[in-house]
Order: sequence, then structure tokens, then C-alpha cells
Amino acid sequence: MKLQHYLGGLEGLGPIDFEKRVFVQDWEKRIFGIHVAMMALSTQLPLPATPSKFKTVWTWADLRKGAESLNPFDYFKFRYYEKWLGGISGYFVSNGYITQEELDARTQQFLSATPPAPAAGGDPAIDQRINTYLVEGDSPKRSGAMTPKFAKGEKVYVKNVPSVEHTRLPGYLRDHVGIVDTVYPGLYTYLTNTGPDGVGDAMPVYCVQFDPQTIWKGNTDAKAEIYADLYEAYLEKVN
Amino acid sequence: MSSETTDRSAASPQELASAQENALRFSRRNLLIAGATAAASPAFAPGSVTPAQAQAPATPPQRFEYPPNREALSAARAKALESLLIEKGVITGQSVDSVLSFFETQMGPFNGAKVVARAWLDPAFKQRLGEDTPAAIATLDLPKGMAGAEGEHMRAAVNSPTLHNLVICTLCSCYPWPVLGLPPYWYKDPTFRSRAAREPRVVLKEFGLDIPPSVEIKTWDSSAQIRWFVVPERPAGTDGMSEGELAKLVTPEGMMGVAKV
Repeated sequence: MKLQHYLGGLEGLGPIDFEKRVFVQDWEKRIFGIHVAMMALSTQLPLPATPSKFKTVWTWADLRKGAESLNPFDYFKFRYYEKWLGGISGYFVSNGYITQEELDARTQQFLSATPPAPAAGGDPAIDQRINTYLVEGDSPKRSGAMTPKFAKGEKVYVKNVPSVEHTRLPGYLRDHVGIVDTVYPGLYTYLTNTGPDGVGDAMPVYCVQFDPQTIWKGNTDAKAEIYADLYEAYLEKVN
Repeated sequence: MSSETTDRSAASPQELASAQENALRFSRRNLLIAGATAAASPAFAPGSVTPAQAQAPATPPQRFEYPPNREALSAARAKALESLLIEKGVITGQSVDSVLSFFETQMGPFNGAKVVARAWLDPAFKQRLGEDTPAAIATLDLPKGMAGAEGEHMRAAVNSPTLHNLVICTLCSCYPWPVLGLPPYWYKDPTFRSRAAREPRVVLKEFGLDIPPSVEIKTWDSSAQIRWFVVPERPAGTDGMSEGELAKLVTPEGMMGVAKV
């Protein structure tokens, strides 16, 4: 069991920090921009090639996998974009784009009293592709002959699939029964194949309604429903 | 002076910076290594240990300690990474700024506000928005990209006097970029994500939004590829306002369900 997969419903966390800013430190903007650029330049997208030297795959799944694989104490210790900075830096090192030594040395230079001037230049086609990605997106919707197994109004059981490093099944729903609220038209892929967890290939997706009283009995809202969008691989018939 | 304070002063600034940089280097495997290194490093000078302390574990866990220059270190690391990526031809000197500018001018809550204002004025549009969100949005004069990144498949949850909707993402931070831009800190914080699933009414009250017990709350957890936003109710006293005036009233918080408009 990975704590990060079971955040929904976790008790004892105290008051919420109603911080409205997106970026609470200026540096967070830089790592966000780098992440979007990586997603846009990722090689699996059907976009025109550019002179960028980025020649590997980077999607939300890679970013999420990094955060979900952390020691849970570190997951809570590090702020949102601190996790991004660690995960993305690690990716560029482990994929050979930069070395750890280069990164450490350059970091020290920026910490010094005489930081280097910002780097500049590059082919505008790279930024054009980033803009195209933002405008066009990367739809996971596919057409196919697969017929949804479940119908609107039908009860479904949420499987407790094997725990792997990355999932799109919230832990609090595992082993619970819900009711299909929406059968989304078409089929949906996921950004990566999660192996025994079961998503990746094109399959139906449902919006499923759950009664919080069956999940957190006596310890939840008396007049509420919780809905989750779930891939068919996570569901089975109620016996 | 506590022994912890003494311990910290025993390490040189360079040692501290080095250990703390290690702690930031947390690709999954490296994180474990960094943790092990921190635990094994001499945390205090032996001469300062009293007999009572000597019987305690030699290296108390330091897991929740942050470097004194936590933000400066991250800022330098982010700058270092960006500059190396530019030099190596991965991104350009303009890439990060052009991404940020896109969210300031093209994709942001100003789009969602226009969608909501139209829904307040046009009941047929409002109904279609709830039933087929992308089709309804496509009829409006909005920037290109309303079905772009993180908005390829959006759904609107429409509030009414008897129903209040709240959008969450318990697994990460899924958010409908074309209509709302980027998520605020609170939406990404584990505390909100954990608590809003189980006790939405209590959480909303902390946000200053009192939802009476008679009103049903529907919480939408964005766990697949659909991105949700809320259509808040039109506030009283806005009769006769233009679409543009109404749009100015709509807040991102209202479109996530943690505030009324």
C-alpha cells in the first residue's frame, strides 16, 4: 500500500492552507515551464520534429510516477514543485542529457556572489512546437470496436489491483461498490502502461458514483456523493 | 543551547549545503541514497556528548529538517537546470517564458469566467454546457486551445439552489487548464486533497463557504482524463449586468466550488 495512493480520506491533517497563488516562490515558475516544454517535445507526440535535442518520452505519467514512488514522509516533506524539481533534474541526469556534476557545479555558480548571465538562443521551431502542444493538447480518446462492459445505473465493484509505482485508481475506492453515472463515449488510453495495475491501452472510461457513508461509515458527510472517473480495467461486475 | 543546535553548528556551511543538495536530488533511487548519507554523516562533535546523550542513538533521524537556504538552493538548482538545457539545445532561452506567457494571456480563469457569464445569461447554453461541455464551449469566441492541453475532455458541474459541486484530484492535481489556467497552491496541497474527499462541507466552511445541511454536495475526483470545473450560481443583485460585467465577478475559487460568486 502506497500512502500517496490513499490520500483521499486521510484523517488528522489539520486546517487547509488557503494559499491562492499558483507559484509560492519565483523559481517554481521555471520548473513548471521546463516540464511543459518536455511534455511538448516528448517523442511520442505526432507533432513536427524540431532541432531540439530532447529525444525521449516525458509525460504526466513520468512526473506522477516520481512523486508516487517517493518515501511517503518525503512526499509530505517536499512542497509540490520541490517534488517536480527533484524528479525532473533526476530524469535529465539519468537519461544522460546532463551530468550530476554539471548540475551541481552550475547550481553553485548561481548561488555565488557573481552568478552567470542567463543562457539564451535556440531554434524558434522548438517554441513553436511547445505552443502547438498547448493549443492542440494530446487527446487520449480513441475510437474502436470495444463495447463498454457496464451501463449507466449499473452497480460496479472496484477491484483492488496490485499496487505498483503508478496508478489512476484512488485508494479509498478500492473494494467498494459504486453506480455507473456516465459511460463516456469512445475509448481512452493512458499516458503509460501501468502493468498489473491495468491501464494504458484504449478502453472505456466511466464516471462512477459512490456513497461516502459506505467508504467512511459514520465519519463523513450525511448528504454528499463522491464521483470518480475510472478506467474499465479497475471495475468488475458485482456478484 | 539544545544539542540539536550544537550539532548543526558543528557542520561547516559547505557540508550543510552539500548534504542539503543531496536531499534535493531525489530521483527515486537517489532519494534513498541521499537519506542514507544524511543519516550516516557525523551530526555532532563527539566532545560535546554527555554520558546521558551517549546512550541515545548516535544519529537521530533528521527527516523533517530543511536546509536554511531551502528556497535559494532550489532557485539556483532550477536556474542551473534551465541554463544547461538551453546550452545543450533541449529548450531555448525563450521556452520557459513563452510557456508562462501563454498562461497569462491564452489559457486562464478569464476564459472560464466568460463561459460562466454566458451560462448565466443563456439557459439553453447552460443546459448544453452541463450535457456536452466541449460542444458548448466551442460555440464561444475564445482563444484557440479550448480543447488543448489539460482540456481535451472537460466537463462542467452546474450548481443549483439544492446542489453544490466541488472538484478535487486526490491522486495529483488535475485541473482544466483552458478554462482555469493553473491550479492554486491549496488545490495541490495534500491536506485539501485528503480532507475534501471525506468531509467536503467542513472543508468548505474553512474556506468561508457555509453550505446548509439541506443542500447536497457532489465531489468530483479527477482520476482519469476528464477535467472538471464548476458553474457557480449567478449572484443576486446582478440583473441588467452585461456579459462582460458578469464575467468580472467570476473567480477561480467559484469555478472549483470552494466559493460562491
